[in-house]
Amino acid sequence: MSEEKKKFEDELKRLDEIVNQISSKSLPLDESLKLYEEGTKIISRLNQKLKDAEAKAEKIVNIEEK
Amino acid sequence: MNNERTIYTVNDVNQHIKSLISQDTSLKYILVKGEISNFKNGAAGHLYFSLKDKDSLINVVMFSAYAQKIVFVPKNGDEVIVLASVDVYAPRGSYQLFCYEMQQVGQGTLLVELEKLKKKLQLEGLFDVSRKRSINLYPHAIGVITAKNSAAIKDIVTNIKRRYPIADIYVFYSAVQGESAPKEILKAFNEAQKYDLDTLIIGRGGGSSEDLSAFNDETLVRAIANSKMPIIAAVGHEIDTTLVDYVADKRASTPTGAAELATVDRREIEQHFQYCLDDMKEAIIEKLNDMRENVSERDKELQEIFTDKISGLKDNIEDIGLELKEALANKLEYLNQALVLRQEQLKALNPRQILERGYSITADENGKVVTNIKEIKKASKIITYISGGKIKSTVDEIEERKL
Repeated sequence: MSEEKKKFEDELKRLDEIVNQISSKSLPLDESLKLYEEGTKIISRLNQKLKDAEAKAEKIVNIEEK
Repeated sequence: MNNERTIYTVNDVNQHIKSLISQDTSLKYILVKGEISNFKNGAAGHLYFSLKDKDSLINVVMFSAYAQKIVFVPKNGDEVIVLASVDVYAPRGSYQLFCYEMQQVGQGTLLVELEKLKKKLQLEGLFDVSRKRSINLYPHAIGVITAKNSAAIKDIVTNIKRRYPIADIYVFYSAVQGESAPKEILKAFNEAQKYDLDTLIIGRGGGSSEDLSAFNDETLVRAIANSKMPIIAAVGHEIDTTLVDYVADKRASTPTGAAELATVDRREIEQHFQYCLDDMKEAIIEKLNDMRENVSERDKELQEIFTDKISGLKDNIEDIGLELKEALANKLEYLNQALVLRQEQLKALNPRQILERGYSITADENGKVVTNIKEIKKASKIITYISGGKIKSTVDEIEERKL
């Protein structure tokens, strides 16, 4: 169950990585633009995930039955 | 009366007694059992009453900061145990109990037991700061143990959803007060251990007069100490800490506070996204500017090189022009000299020139130049050309030179 969920944090890490890489002077422009695109995609994907998650209901664990 | 003896003021005496009593640690933080009488609710929430048993009575003062913690409504006749220090009120020369905590009898013994248990667990290191685990603020799943239909569960769920809706919330309902509470909470806790949770929140039911004793249960506290996942306790009140609060990795004083400790706020994430976007944009713009600057620098360099080249060529051409001029002048000079020379030579060849040097030329009467004596006959007429004119004469005698 955790695979899909863990991604949020991993993608955040990837985003930070991208920002760091782009901020490095040595990275050429064309690669920076590629990474920028990846970064914005991650952001919109994560924003969507947050939005999609809003509708989620909590799960009630019935202990008596277990 | 004897003049040599010291005379004290009343205040001296009272102050001395006060200092004696305040130095005596056996009168500090003691538990005293008795029955409430003369109970008065003073101004600003302070409580004034007496404690008595069948032989004796003592006045008690309890300031509002401490009185707020009392979880029952005290009244005359209640059997209570108080935690207090003996204090002297000098202006009246009276001593009294300065009260910190008050419990009804029955719970009074619990208070003592609880202190003992707390000490024991503390010595075992169960409450050590070094044991506290950090909370993953990006949880994929959070467990919540609390009472059904409580205000607490609503607060926790609402706030987790508001802050970090990504997290799945697993709710494990349990009674949190009453005799079965410790067992039920433990059961819920053990059930929660089977789940892959990032954090487990243990909360009370809500309501001010509830009994929190279940959260001081030793078995439960020990179980929590060995929890697979970090625990956030939202059990005790601001001023009434339970053992579960002590053993938990984090402690919140409200259910909302627990949700805040368990999750990052999505507003922070969204803010972070904005920062990321800004940083990336800024970095790219900087790169573009660098490149532009680079290009304009190269351009400048090229222009400089070009200008240098041209001015070099110009110099070259000027040099060549000078050389050409010089060569031309030389040539002219040479030609001129050659011409003068030829003129001289020509001059030398002119027959008139010969005549001027004293020679003469002989021609027949027709003007044909005589170059040999044999062409001349006796009595023929000849013309002699000489510098300055000509002589017409007749040949008298011919004398051939014998070779």
